[in-house]
Amino acid sequence: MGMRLTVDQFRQTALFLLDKVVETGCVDKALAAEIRAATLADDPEQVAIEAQRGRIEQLKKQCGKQGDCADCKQLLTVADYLVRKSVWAVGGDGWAYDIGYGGLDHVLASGKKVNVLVLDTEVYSNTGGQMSKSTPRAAVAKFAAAGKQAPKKDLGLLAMVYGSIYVAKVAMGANASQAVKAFAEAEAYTGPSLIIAYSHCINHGFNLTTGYEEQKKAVASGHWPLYRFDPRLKEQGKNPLQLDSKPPTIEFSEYAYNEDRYKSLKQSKPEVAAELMKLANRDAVERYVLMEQLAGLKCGQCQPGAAEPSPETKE
Amino acid sequence: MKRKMVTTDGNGAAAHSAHATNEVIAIYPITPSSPMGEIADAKTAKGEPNIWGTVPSVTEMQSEAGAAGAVHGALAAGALTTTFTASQGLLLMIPNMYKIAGELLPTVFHITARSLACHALSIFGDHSDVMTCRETGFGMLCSCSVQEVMDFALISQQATLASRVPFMHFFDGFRTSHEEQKVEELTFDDMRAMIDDELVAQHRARALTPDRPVMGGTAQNPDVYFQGRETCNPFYLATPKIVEETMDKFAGIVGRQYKLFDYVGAPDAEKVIIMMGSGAETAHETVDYLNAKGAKVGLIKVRLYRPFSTKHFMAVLPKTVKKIAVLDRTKEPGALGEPLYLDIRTAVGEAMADGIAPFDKYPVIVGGRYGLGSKEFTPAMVKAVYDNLDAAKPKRGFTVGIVDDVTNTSLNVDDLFQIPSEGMYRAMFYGLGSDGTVGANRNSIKIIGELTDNYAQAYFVYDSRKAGTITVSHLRFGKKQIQRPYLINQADFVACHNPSFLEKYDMLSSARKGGTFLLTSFHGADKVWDTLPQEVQKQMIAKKLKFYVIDAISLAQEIGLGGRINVIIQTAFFKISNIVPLDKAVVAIKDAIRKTYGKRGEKVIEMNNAAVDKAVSRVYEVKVPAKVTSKTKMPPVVPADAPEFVRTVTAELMAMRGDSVPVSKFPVDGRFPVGTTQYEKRNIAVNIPVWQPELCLQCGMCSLVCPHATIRIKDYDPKSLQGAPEAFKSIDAKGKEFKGMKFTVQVAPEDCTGCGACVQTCPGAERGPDKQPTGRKAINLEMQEPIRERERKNYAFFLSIPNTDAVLFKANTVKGSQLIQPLFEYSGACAGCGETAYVKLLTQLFGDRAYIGNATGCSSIYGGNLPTTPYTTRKDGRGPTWCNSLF
Ligand SMILES: Cc1ncc(C[n+]2csc(CCOP(=O)(O)OP(=O)(O)O)c2C)c(N)n1
Ligand code: SF4
Ligand code: SF4
Repeated sequence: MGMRLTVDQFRQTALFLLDKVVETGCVDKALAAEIRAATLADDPEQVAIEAQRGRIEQLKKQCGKQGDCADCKQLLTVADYLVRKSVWAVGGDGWAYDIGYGGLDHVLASGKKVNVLVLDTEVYSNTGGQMSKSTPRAAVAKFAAAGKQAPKKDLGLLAMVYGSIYVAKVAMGANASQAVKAFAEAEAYTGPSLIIAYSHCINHGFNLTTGYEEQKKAVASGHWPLYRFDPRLKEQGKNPLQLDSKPPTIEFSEYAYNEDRYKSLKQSKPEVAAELMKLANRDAVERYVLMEQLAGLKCGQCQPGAAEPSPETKE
Repeated sequence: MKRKMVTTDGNGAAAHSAHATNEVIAIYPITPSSPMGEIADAKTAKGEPNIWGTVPSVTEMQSEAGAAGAVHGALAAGALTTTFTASQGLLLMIPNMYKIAGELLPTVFHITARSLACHALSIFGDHSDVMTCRETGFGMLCSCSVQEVMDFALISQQATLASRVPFMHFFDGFRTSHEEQKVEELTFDDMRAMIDDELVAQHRARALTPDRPVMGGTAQNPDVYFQGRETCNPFYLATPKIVEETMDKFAGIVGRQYKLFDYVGAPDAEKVIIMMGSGAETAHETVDYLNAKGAKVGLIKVRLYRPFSTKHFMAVLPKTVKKIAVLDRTKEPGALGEPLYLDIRTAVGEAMADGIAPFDKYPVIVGGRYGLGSKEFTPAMVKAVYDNLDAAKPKRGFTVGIVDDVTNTSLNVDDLFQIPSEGMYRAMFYGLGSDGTVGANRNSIKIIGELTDNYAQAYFVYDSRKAGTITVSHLRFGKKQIQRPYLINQADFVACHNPSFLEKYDMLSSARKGGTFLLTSFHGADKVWDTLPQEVQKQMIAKKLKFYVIDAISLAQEIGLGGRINVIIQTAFFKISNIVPLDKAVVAIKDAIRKTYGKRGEKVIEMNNAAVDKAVSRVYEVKVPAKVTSKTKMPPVVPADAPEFVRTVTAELMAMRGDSVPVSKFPVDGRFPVGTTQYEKRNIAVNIPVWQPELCLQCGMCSLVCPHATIRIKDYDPKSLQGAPEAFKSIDAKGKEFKGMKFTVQVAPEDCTGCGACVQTCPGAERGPDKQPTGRKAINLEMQEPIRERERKNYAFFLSIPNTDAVLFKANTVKGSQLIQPLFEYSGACAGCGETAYVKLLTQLFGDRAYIGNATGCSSIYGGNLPTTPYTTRKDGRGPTWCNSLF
């Protein structure tokens, strides 16, 4: 967040100085105008970015020539901020769902252009596999030796209710193009974005060679519905939520019992496991159905903004 | 009653006492304290009761702030409550700690003392975290060894109930929390005898309850806040005596006598070291040794650091003392000195002013730092501290254990100074992270601990990467309790679990003269000698080592154990070392196998048992020839054309020589150059993918899913093929945008982890005449070793081909994204990790303009852990800039 604030501030400073160096005659007016236009357009395409970098090179040359112009010297220190920057917060589910949730929520609600990537392993992987609020019901994790009782928290849904955050749930192994598209859209979106990425992990207890197959099953069971929630679609009168995966074709248990985190409870406490798995099966179906219902809402017909609270957006 | 001897580590010892004497436990994971929470949770899940017969509740919170909040609430409501934490976690508890102490709520926090994130994060041990909490009003009791951890966990529990002052019970992260020792286990009877139930009842009687309502935690104004703050004084004044009495009570019940300050050494010592934590054990051993040789030195182990009792301290300081060195395992930049040092100066000064000092000339007192971030602290360093006191002007604010060539604080250490190890057997195992070494060695010390009257100690050094890591196990056995919280540097037995280590690490430098070396090698007893690098042969001859080989890797594969060679090596160790008669050892190993693998089913047990039986007859002794015959030398750690920083610093760390890199070589603000994983060719894959162009759909899926950025694709101008190595493969590019171009899929053979994810995901299946898939795909796994050289050249050539022009493709497609250079490569994540491919994708799409703030987690570890880091740059020098961010 601090990085974003700095980048935005430097960009403003650079634009301000750009005007001054045109006034002092140090920099060519047409070049400055092009730079300003490109900066404001803020095109996320690579080609546009490289073109702007080319212009900044010229700008630096022109500024560099004027030996003792204070404004030129100033501008040289911030000129690179006229090129688009991409600010990312990256972390695991322990961070995003638990310990960092308060801060994460605040950043997302701020409307600032910060992209968030949550690498969701459904446990605290780095510290050895402890339960987080992302851990699904019925899974065994450290600190949940008896199996997790409560269902997984739906972080994406919580973020969606702001209405102004780009939210995507992805699983590369289940739908690679959806994942790539989500990254590109998230970054191009003018406000905050949140990508929740299914990440298989040694702590799940299976051979990771088939990690991406597991991702397919997680999606096929409804446990991990793929979607993209793009607030821009509202302007076109469309439902911002696009559901990118099909209704469940397998039971959650069929996916889960490939992995030791679920299997081990079945071995140590079969009855408890069966009971929890019944609930977990239901959780998966309910999660998908909820998304399906939300994605099916006809949004064009409601008054813009009436359905959701309207937090401040950047523009 | 005779107590059970058990083999446990510090965390196990603390959890044993803590779970038994509490009712509510609130936890949050942080290394190295997490195992205490895990053990407590597992005990509760199994229904194990505390000494009052109820099962404690164990609850994970959303952070340590939450855990401390829960503790505060539970204590206020009257339950006996505890928590476990360290480092950043302890910092998050501070606000609640003030409240808990302010309300005189009795509790013990068990802390594995750990460094704080400053210029860098470190999961390792020192006292920075606990020292930050000195002002909270918590008592501070420090354990030096695993046995003490179990004992002090109980002592502090009773002391807090008796004094109402809450306690931090701390011990050194990793060195004590993770050191396995054979210790005497306290029984529930001991605990019942120690804990005064009347005090428990009083605690409950003070509980907040609507049945007897009160107001706690009011807001106060300038008229009264100050007075209220002073009301607690009598409790702090009374605490040292209470702890002393509790220690005496413990001695009466259990037999081990502790004091608030324990003095060891000559009664008429002139030079005294004062310190706390595991380092005090090293100093203790050194003091005994030096005094036996005629020196007159002493040591004070500080047990109760807060509340600090000058009276008790003065009572143990010999009146002959002339010079004092105070050692702190923390750093307070800008202060006159570190905390313990300042306290000792104040204590001595006040004692002299009050006339209770046993001397009338103010002694020379200097302070110094040691052991930050688990830096080794050895007898030689203890000696250096005493030697410093002999100098005409002893250094103040010194460091010991590093070379500080910037502000010259460091003391010179005579590395040859060693304490002899008669009657002690020392073994080191260089294992591969995933081969089960640590588990097997844990079992070994249990076996030796149980079958013999030997004491045993085990400590494991991990490197920080998650895949293909090296793990060095340090095992000691002996008839006396082993008081050596430092690594072995002269081993009777050295085992190398992977022949490739011999090319990377100088492991025989830690073998003693006449010791034994066991090598895992594909070569038999007749051939193996010539495969060793010259440096290794030289040392073996010079040190007259006994040499054994075993082809554990082939044997494990033959039995179906894959890479898990642990039991094989373990058996070989027992056979060669003869610590326990072989037949007994075999029975015990099989017992351990049943316990360890029982959950995985009969088949796994059988395979491991077979491994034991076969290993016995597959260890061969090799006669060490008199002459060096090898033609190979240890290769340079990094190529000669690597950047200067990589050659002079990174390479040293990679070769496990980081300890000797001086201060001047390091960046002052913790900022390191990027793109260094490329210099670390880890060669950990057994099999790597090989491309079959005609089956390839050119979709880019393999590259997308690869967690390590070690399989890449390019579309390029056929002219670029000029000068290609003979074995370099290419095919006509598919797709109209790449018309007339060539296409290649290339693997980085030395960086690939062999996880197989790419092959599994590849949709390009070969179909037989019957249209059914044959099982072959457009990429297939093959043994790495025979094709390593060929593919290395191919990969180098591939990298030299210009990247596909960005105007030709759309970046937001699978293939397009993969035609862009990844700026995150060869990370140390687990082979097959599901997180890294997303991070890689991020760097492909936006890396040239990305800021990454990375919350602590796997992604910050594989992303930013030394020695080498995976974020890198494009040709023009642009790339992601990265910083770890706290939660
Ligand atoms: C305040 C604090 N508490 C605890 C820790 C220990 N810790 C390190 S990483 C981590 C979380 C890891 O889990 P997650 O965020 O899910 O990331 P993953 O490792 O799964 O990628 C924790 C709790 C810490 N670094 N700081
Ligand atoms: S697979 Fe390994 S590196 Fe990846 S998230 Fe899991 S523990 Fe971390
Ligand atoms: S085997 Fe694994 S590490 Fe190697 S190229 Fe394939 S996906 Fe990457």
